[in-house]
Amino acid sequence: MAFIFRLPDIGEGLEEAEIVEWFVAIGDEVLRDQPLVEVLTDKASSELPSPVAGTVLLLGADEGTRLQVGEVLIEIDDGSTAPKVASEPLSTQTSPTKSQPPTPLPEVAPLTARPKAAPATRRLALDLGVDLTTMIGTGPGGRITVNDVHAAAPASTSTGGLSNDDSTASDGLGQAAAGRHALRGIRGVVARNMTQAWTEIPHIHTMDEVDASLLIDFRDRIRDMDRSGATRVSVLVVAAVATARALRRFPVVNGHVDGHPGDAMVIPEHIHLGIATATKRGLVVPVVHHADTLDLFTMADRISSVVGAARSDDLSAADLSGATFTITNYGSLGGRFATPIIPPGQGAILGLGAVAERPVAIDGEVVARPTLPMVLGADHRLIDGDLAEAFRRAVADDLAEPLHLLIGS
Amino acid sequence: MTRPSDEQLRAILVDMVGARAQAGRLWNLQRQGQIGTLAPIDGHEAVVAATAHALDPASDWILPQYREPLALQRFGPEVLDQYMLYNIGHPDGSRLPPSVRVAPLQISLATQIPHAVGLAWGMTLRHQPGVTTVFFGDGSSSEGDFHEAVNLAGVLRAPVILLCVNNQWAISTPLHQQTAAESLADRAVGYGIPGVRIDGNDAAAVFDAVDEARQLALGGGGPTLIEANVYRLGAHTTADDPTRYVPAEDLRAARTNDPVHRLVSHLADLGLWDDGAQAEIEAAALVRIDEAFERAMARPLAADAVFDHCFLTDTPRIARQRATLLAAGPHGHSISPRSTDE
Ligand SMILES: Cc1ncc(C[n+]2csc(CCOP(=O)(O)OP(=O)(O)O)c2C)c(N)n1
Ligand SMILES: [Mg+2]
Repeated sequence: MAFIFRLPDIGEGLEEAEIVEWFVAIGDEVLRDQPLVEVLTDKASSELPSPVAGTVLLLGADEGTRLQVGEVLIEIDDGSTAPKVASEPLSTQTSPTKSQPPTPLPEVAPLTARPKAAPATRRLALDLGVDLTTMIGTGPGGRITVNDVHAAAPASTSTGGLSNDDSTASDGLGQAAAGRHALRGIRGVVARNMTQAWTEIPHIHTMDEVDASLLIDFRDRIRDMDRSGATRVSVLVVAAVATARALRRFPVVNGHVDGHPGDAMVIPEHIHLGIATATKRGLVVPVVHHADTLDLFTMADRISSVVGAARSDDLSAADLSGATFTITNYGSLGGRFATPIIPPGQGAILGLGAVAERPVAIDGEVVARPTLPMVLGADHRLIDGDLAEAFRRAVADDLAEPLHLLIGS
Repeated sequence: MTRPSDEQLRAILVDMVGARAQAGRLWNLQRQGQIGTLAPIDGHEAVVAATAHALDPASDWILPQYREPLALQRFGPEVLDQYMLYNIGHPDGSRLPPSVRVAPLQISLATQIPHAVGLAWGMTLRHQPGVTTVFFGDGSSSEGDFHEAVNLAGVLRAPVILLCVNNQWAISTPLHQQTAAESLADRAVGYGIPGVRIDGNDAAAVFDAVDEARQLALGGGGPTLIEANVYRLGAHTTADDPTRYVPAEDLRAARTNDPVHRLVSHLADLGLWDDGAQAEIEAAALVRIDEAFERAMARPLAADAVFDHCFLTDTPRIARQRATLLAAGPHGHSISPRSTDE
């Protein structure tokens, strides 16, 4: 007989959840309390364990789709003879955390009401000069999301020119009172990670400048296109696409050394790019997952969304985990060459300097050209100079002639 | 110094291991939609179980916050029954139990502290033996109720043990944003009572401190403030995602100091603990919680029980709402969420 497990309200007043991943398939035998599925709610992602032991008869929804609380999640034949149902809503009132009255939100928020947005979102709106009182968000019940705010923000980062246009400067730079301060929070995490990286990884760096004339022209022409996301395409975005292509060609650069001083090399199945981002609280590296499957516009969207979330402190744990390779756009702060440190658990890092007009020798003539300085930092246990340079050049070639991006790698 | 005997330590560990196993089952029941929001005990096992073992269930009272019940087994099996009733949302879970000296959970932060002081003072006035012990968190120690109650306890020399479980977090607020003070125990000075700071992951240290505070209170010496330092090893509640704010490094470091693992390895070194014993204790604890859950589900619950515990006699509004709910049939889903008198 089928045991019907309906999607429970596992938070406090949740209405729906997204099916992220099934751990079981139809026909599988499951044990009581065995994880069945990962779901994502507006609060968190959670694993739901099986209420009974038995055979899976039916999955209520596909991965990537949403289910309402109370809809059938899964049916399991538990060998019993009477139909049973778990997760009829119980009248539980226990609530050690901030519980909100479960009054349904109106379909569309009245424009005169206080804007429906989280405090962090309101703060971001204030920072970006976005007026929330006239906005209806794309979230549940018209809630305004971080992405809505970014979409409504004046395109301040798209001023063109030669800058790398991803300013990452933070307030209060270099300020602290005299005395001893414990390194807490992000500062503490950065301190520990960098110490581990610097003491464990023997770094080598290879650097050069790329003639960026075609790249800047390419970027500016894309930005003029009447297409959503076009204004978000930046040098960093093009470099991210080129890097993902090069990583596919050279999987070892996407890998890392495991154990200390080095027992094995691990080559990940997927390519996940970390984007080093300076925030008011310190350096954060949100991740663009499956970067090699993204086209230029999707890459632009994803980078601007994770970087925006990083700056407004709105990242989930998943947004911060799994990077296989990192790009640091230190040039957004100015500066030509740097020697970036490889995050622990990765094998290499790409640094981009500031684009500027510089003298270049072409056919015996010195001419002024916009150039992009770039650096590859590599773990010498894994990567020798020849591979480091071959990889850096693969990225450089795509940036020097972005038409390469049209050609399969 | 009253070190617990090895037998006492083992009995404490039995309760801690049982609580840890039951906490896992409880989490799953919540994720299966069978019980409501709850606050996991993970990381608090030693401070709660060792306190219970340093007290006398026949004369002493415990007033919990909301994380403690699974490790209060020593006070009687009714504690678990009561807790499971609470978890399924049955109003009986919030009653003062008739047979055990453990008060119901308090969600409204710090309100249990004045209750404990009043109860202790009342016991003195009635010449009843015993002490009351009240659990509260670092966050609760910022509430006005804490300061008012502890001040009064000092004045009255009430026989109360004020047990602050400092787990370094109040939901997502870390301790350094909770207070500028070096230590929560230092507050005792301001109320003229002794304050001690102990390692709450060390069951023997907890037992010792609680025993000493109890002797002081029984001898008329009044209250003691104990700050027991632990680390919250799980989520704040089932509705929380701590990975968003607890630094992974800090959590990893705290796990190396897990109170259960510490006592397991101590007693294993003495030859008093092994994997086989642990597996049996865990299995028995799971049977107990499953049975308590079944009993709770079997307890009759009137459809309109939600209206029963606010007023002695229904106000006109509650009477109308009760009638509307009962008219809507067994599931009550068809009533409109807003009636005219809201
Ligand atoms: C009077 C009151 N204010 C706020 C809350 C919301 N709230 C629930 S738990 C909690 C944090 C309590 O932290 P702490 O006392 O340290 O206990 P812990 O959860 O860490 O065990 C808060 C603020 C509440 N329940 N009651
Ligand atoms: Mg706390």
